[in-house]
Amino acid sequence: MIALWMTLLPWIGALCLLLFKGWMDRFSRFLPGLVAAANVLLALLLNLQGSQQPTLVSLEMGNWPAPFGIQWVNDSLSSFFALVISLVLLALVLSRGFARDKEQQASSDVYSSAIVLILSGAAFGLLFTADLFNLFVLMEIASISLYALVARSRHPTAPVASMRYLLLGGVGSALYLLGIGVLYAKLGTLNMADIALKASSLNPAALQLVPLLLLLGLAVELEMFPFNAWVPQVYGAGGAFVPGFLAGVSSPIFALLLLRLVTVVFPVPQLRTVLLVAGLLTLVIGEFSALASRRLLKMLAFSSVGSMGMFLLLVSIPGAAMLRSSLFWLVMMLLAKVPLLGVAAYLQRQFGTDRFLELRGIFSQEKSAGLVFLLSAASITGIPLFAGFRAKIQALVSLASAQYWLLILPLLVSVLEFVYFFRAIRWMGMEPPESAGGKPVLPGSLEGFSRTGTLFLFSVFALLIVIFGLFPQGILDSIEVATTQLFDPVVYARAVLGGM
Amino acid sequence: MSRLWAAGIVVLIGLFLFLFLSDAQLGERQQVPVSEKMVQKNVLGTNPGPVIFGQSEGLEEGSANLVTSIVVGYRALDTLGEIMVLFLSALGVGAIAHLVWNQKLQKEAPSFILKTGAGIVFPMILVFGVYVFSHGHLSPGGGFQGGSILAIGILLLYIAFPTFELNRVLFQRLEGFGGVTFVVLGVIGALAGGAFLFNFLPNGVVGQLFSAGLIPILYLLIGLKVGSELGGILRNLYGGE
Amino acid sequence: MNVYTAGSILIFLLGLYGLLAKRDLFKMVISLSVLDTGVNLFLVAVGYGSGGIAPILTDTYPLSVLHFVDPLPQALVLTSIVINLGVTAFALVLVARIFKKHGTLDTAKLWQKMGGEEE
Repeated sequence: MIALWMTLLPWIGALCLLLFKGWMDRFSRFLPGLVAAANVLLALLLNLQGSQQPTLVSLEMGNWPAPFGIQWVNDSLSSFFALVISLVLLALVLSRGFARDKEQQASSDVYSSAIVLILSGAAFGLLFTADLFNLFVLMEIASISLYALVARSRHPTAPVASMRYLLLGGVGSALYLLGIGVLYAKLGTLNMADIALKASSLNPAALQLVPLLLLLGLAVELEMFPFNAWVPQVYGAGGAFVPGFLAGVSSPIFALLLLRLVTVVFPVPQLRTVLLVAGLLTLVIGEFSALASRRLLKMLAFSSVGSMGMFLLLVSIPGAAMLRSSLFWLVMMLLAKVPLLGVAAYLQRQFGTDRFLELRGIFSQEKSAGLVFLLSAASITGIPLFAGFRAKIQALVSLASAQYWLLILPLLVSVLEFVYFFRAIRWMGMEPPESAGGKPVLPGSLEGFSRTGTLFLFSVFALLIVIFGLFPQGILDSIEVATTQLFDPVVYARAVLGGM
Repeated sequence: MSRLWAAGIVVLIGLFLFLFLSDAQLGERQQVPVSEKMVQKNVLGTNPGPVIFGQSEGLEEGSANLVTSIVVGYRALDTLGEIMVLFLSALGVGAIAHLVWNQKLQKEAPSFILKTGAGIVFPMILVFGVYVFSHGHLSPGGGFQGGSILAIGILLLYIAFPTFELNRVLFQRLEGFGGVTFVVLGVIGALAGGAFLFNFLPNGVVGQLFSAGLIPILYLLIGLKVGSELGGILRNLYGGE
Repeated sequence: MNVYTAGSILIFLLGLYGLLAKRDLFKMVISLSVLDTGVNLFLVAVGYGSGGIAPILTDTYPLSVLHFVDPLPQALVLTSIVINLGVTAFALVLVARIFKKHGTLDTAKLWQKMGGEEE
């Protein structure tokens, strides 16, 4: 039940915020942080249960056996990611707490904290659910939370950004439901393992249509082209929580779901082709757009799209090695994305802008932010001795060993990444600032404890980047264990259903 | 985008969908659907005979409304998710409503017919709403439907009586209460039977009002929650904070 | 593919057209609603078996072995409708917010404004 508590605890917290409204209002500042910390403990417990061999714990809701009731499964992959995600979420929630505006109305603060809690619960649920419709429900919960959180941002483009996200997300989820409709019409079940075992009885048309529709449903959250039109504006609206959440929690979780879909439920060539093409397009368009960006948050948003494109590319190729590479890539990238976005959001908070033109030489007065940015950028671009280097090399090698020509675009794009990241660093770090005294800080910006706390959080990430760069073995081993279960989908599916 | 492009894209997608869907032969099932066993209330394998309205007793699942048996029985976790979605949209509306309306909506003076009619119709709406969610396991309906009906009653009050104001805090507490109790009952189920949302109350005879174990209670909670939630949204739309 | 599934896909496509072709945000929200309706109808149609009865045990149809329509897609649709309600309610408030802030709901003008704020 531990997995279930990781979802129930935040949800009970959110409900209580309203049940005890008035009495709990001052407490609402701390509740998300407390719950996030509790979830880290739960995730640790989860991993304690099986660190050396693969785990497989099945939760049947209501005691109804697997394909009839809703089933949640905790396997090695979800245990590992539960831990990673819970730590990232804790950092994000804490930085949100630090960034809290003192003038904001108390009652809408409570709503916002409740929304964050509900979002957290849904995020963990997505890691464990083994039922396609339950997935849909949780995905919608996460999406609506994000629409609401984005709409609350103070940036002038926030409401329109939220609207765009909402409309695209609406289409995506409608397509997903269509896929479920067709799937249920043919196979009569919604349980992922059950579908995996029965998928071969689908006729060819359905076998092509269903995974495509499901993929398109996930495509919005995966920031896959062409459903990623919402990304630049939503990241651009800033805020301490949303961009970091999107890159550090949301995208990885949906990437994981995609992984399960492609390796266990529908390991069919048609799906992989679509992923390959979409991945290449996403990668190229993303990175070129990053190059052309004039705002830091947008540059990072497009960079995030680019790395998701790379992930899609990696996942599209069957094989155990690719599986490991794609997971490793995912983890290393999210480790760097969170501090990068954190610094960008921080700069926007302190100085009211993230436009490059207005942030010349800003790192000379924000030295720690600059250092964090430098280290994270080094990791993302793949400089040796940083965490991202190993991931990048492994990814490129895997691609090359699958098909030589697959290497070309990712390599080209890596060069682009170097260019725009170090251009940004040079401009913000090495150019002299506009005025001798440095850029004035906005009223209402972070100072004292809030400021130090925020910077500290991102420094921890930067530190981890350096540590994992030098000692990657721990993560590699965990990934090894996490993926062994997926290598034989039929065996895995049977095990999940309990030997039916 | 221009209408021509839009039409073109839609036609293309439509052709694609129709082609694939007809090829997929939706009418032909390849496998027996899981709902077969749910209809026979034989998922656990303990019920060999058919379920008979008004006679079958102590089954694994006691609701005469088969859809309800799925929504609040076999797939109850999705319903918890559904509750959270509505909760979320009420929160979302509340979170940005103060940015939209900073004064109350000016309501037109209602006519005599409206005022008198509302007074007569409102209690009926209330009764009907309560009927719908309390009989969710016996006839079409349930918590969500019943709650919506209650909310319509509240809307009527807003329209007919210019000075009507919903007690915000009370309804928010109702919302929270409904949700928390739902989860708590689920946890009690876990303690009593080993899994979250396990139906630990006796199932009684299929077709009677007091049957189906936990289901009427859950639907009651959902009805209260949904009613107060939608009422709260209405309140926000009318410009209260 | 029967007339119900085909019809629901048509409704879905109509909603999609509206979403793509209309310039007014409010109409886009309504188109999304139409699109969702199409999908919900599709799900219900999937469960339909010709000659089937509503899946409720009553005095008139007391036996569970009678030919009932599949109740599971109906349960899914119930959840889907509620979710769509939530999204639409929030979307409409968001539309109101955008109108209050920018004074227009014309997407062409809004994109222009966004472009100005951005770079």
